[in-house]
Amino acid sequence: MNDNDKKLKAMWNKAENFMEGSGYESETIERFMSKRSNSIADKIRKTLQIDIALKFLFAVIFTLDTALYFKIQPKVAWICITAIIIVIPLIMFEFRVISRFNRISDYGMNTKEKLSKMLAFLKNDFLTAVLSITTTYLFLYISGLLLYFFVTYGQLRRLGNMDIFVFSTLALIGIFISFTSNYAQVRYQIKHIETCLSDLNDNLLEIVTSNIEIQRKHDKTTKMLFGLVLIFGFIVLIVILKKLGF
Amino acid sequence: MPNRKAFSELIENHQAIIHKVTMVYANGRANREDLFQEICLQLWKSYPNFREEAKFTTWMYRVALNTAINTIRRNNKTPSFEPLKDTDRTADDSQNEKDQVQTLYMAISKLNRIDKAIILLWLEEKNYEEIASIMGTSKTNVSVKLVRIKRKLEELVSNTVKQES
Repeated sequence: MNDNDKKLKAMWNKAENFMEGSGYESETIERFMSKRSNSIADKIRKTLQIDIALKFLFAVIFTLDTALYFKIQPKVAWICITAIIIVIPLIMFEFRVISRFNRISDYGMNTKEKLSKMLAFLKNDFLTAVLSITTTYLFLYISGLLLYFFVTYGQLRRLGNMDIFVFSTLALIGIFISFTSNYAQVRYQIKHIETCLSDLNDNLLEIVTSNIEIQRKHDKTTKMLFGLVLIFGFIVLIVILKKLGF
Repeated sequence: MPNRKAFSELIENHQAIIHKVTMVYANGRANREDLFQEICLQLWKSYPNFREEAKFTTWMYRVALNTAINTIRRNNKTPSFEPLKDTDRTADDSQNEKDQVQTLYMAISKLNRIDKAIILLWLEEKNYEEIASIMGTSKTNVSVKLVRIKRKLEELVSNTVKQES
């Protein structure tokens, strides 16, 4: 150990005398342990949990819509059944994402492992989940509109061009805001993790990124299934808009 | 697995580790307390996965550093360093000592998050193998990085001293 090392360590050893509030009692620490977490991990978990709850609620509304329209407009009822068939796999997919996330949320692993797993999760699972979360607005729009029409007019009636323009614009704004806000949050987190991995080892980010690419190729089936679900969702929207007189 | 009470007592006995991490990663008393709480919470949540292969303190460093590295605030990327406040315990300490510690913290605050972790572990007398195990990298990488970080830190310390004088 050279003189500079000794000097740095000597300075550090004096630091303990200058620590503020270093005497927390076990009762206070126990209180801290029960507090709500502000970590990004908990925000991600909460976003997914809220979205699952919302999708479940819209599945219930679609079931209600099916029952309401079945006798008067069976075609609309079948559209609702299709929507339920689309929502259920999305709920299951988000449950799977939460379960994968719980497996990597342990903070006791080493820093490289923690950062690599988090990066892989954000780049693969969560980005797909963000797309799934975005579709929630579509389901909110369709299920709510059908319920509103039944309660107000007793049937799904034709709309004017302006009505369709206003409703579609509102739905698209909702979808756009949801996607951009979630995507921006993920991008920011990804950038932070990539910087940390590069700082840890010059070649590490390259290795981790190539591993993520391999995993991404293995995950093709999920992605294809998800793509099909989205296409179905889009077709349902088109059919409904046509039914509304678009 | 211990109950909450036993675990909080365990943390109480080793809380100096968390305080050191918060001093290095957070600026200002309120932010330090927030980070302290977050680390306590993550320690409790991660404890079921703790395997006794590692020492408890080594595991504590891992959780505390991972929490600190992963805690980012979008509008607070490069916080300025807030001067240390006098506490009851430091009433009799010389101003010179306080200045030295402040200079060191100010210099460390300018390092990136990974370098902060490595230098903190080195200052805490952890050997290269332990640092490598906590960070998940090789001993060679730790040794190379430490040389660079110490050089940078010495420059930062001497610059700060020059600026102050």
